[in-house]
Amino acid sequence: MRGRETVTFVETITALSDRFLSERAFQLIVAPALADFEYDAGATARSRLTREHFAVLAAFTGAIWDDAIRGNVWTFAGLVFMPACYYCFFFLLGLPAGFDRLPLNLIAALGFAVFTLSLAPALVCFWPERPSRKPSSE
Amino acid sequence: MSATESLILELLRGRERYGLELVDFSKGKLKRGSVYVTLARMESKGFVESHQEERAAGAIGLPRRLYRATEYGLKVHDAYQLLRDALALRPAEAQG
Repeated sequence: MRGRETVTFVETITALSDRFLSERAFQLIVAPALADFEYDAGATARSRLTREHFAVLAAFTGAIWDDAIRGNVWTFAGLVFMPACYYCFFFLLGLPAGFDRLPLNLIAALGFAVFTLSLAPALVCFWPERPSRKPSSE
Repeated sequence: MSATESLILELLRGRERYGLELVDFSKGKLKRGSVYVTLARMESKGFVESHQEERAAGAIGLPRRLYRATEYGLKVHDAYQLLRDALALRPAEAQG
């Protein structure tokens, strides 16, 4: 018997796969991981966040990476790099006291902000649209 | 061929297994999060082949995937083992 949390988790991963993964990566990596997760969840009747959930997330991340290295990864990296340069320049101009006088945690926070601001639009806009996949979990 | 691929081919020799079974039989050497990525790469290389399990009509949930080693995969595995054994021999053992 599948718990409601299990179904929600499977549907969430399937929806994310619909958007970000190729059919091949979904069928060969994520779908088997989800199927074994459902089988295991049914056998043990556990519903909380466990290492089995993390295993599926790891498989999903691996599938993203597998897709990326098969696809046009350098174009994607270039699209992330360009706004990163823009934001770095923007922050450097706006600093009144100079970069070397900033505390380390603020530099780390700025680095994270630059990375996120650069990655998010490229991820949303460039990542190729995937053909809609009919959910097969029911 | 990596040690992980070699282990998977050894586990698949002569029979089909699910990904989860491979993890269980590996005694901790294979991880649940990475085994499916490794299997997908091995399938691309032609070392293993897979198919979805046959299920009764109306069965709930995603169908599980069964893996088996190909002839080519087993030949590469055997060649890899021979090479490893040859390299592991000390000169005195090799002469004897």
